[in-house]
Amino acid sequence: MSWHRLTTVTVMHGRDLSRRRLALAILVALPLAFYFSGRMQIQEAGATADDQLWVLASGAMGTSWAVAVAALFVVNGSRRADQPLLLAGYRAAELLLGRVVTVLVLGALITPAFALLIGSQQEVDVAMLALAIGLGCVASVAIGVVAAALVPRDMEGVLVVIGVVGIQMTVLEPWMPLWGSGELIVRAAGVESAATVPEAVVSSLVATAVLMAVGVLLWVRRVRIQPATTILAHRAGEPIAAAPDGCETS
Amino acid sequence: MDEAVALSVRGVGKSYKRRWVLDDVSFEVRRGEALAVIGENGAGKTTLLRICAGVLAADTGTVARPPRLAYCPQEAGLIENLTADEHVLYVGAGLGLDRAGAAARGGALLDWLRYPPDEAATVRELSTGTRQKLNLALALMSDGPLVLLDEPYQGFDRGTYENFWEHVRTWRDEGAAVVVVTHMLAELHRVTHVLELRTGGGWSLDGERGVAA
Repeated sequence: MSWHRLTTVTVMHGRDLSRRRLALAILVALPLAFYFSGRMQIQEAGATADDQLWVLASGAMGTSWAVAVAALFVVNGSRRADQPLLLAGYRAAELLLGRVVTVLVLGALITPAFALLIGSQQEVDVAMLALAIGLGCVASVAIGVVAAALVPRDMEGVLVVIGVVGIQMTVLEPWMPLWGSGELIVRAAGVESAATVPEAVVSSLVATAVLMAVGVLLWVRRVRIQPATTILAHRAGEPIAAAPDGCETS
Repeated sequence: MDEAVALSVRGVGKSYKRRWVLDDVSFEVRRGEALAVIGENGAGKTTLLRICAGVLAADTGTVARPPRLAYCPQEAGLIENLTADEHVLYVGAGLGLDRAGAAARGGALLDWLRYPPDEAATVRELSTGTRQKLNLALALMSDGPLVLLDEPYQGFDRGTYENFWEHVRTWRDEGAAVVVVTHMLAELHRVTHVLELRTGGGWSLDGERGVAA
């Protein structure tokens, strides 16, 4: 793996993403809208601890959704360029890892900003909340990569991401990629959680690793350049000719 | 096999939904030769070129090609929010070039294609012809002995179009093998061989029937 190629991929997709200003604005505005609309509701009606937790989770999960969609855009936005770039000499790992790093940088910018903002609005453990949002962002990058590898266009991908993140607001199972993040959000709100911090962190990282492995396999399968192997059958029944010197066969 | 052969296609077949688009296609292109691939819409020209480039798997047959080649797809492989200079650096890094090397190689190709100088617009703001010029320039940055071009001149102005065919001649003189998918039958005198594909899998090379569909 070449450092020069890897940093080039990261920088170029950072520029690509930074120029999608409207999309970025919507991605940031939506979790803010989730959070502040919930805050307004509970301030009007008189909030229970569960209400407070629900609002907090909505905001944090909103950031996960934003990061997953950003990952989807970064990976899918270069769909037509993938194979020409591989032919130019890139390795698939360099292309995908460089793009993942781009989105992780975005997540690293969003995480403390959202944690501090929410901390200024309600009583929470800001450090715990930042850890929860950060882990959620990491898992969300993997969700975005899988969505991008599964479906060809951004619109379908966004729907997949909405579904996956939305389901995790209601299905609370340890094998879900955002479960660990959710448990840490509960802790950040000062409520008893079903998992210890290490359990939540490990759960998140394992789920992220599994998802990312699936995403990588699907993506590599989609973009791969045909290897130098003999193909299944030869309809004419003739012997396969040897390759000219300096040529590869596929 | 002859060392001068840059592309060897043997018995290549491809089917979609149980319909053979390419049926047992075989041909060779030697260095210094140019092959035009012609045929009506849906005859499999783009499919054949994608198989030759290795970006699509054939169902049958083999393709022998050099490890490095220039492939210009019909659908431009561009990233909407990057400029031409950024694309040049992106592709150049893949080729192992530093910034200066990539800028020099890509800049020369863009100049040849009469790409608007000092064009700082992102791809999404470019006209179809200007996009295609960038697409072709990026493909040609890979200076391998095989050049695969899928209707690369769509949207070109007249001058650039003429210039393109002159360069096909130059690449051949420099020892490259060139394969061009084209609808421009008036230009067939500029190539050494013509492969005609027919709907349903039939094909002929230089008028000699290849295989019954």
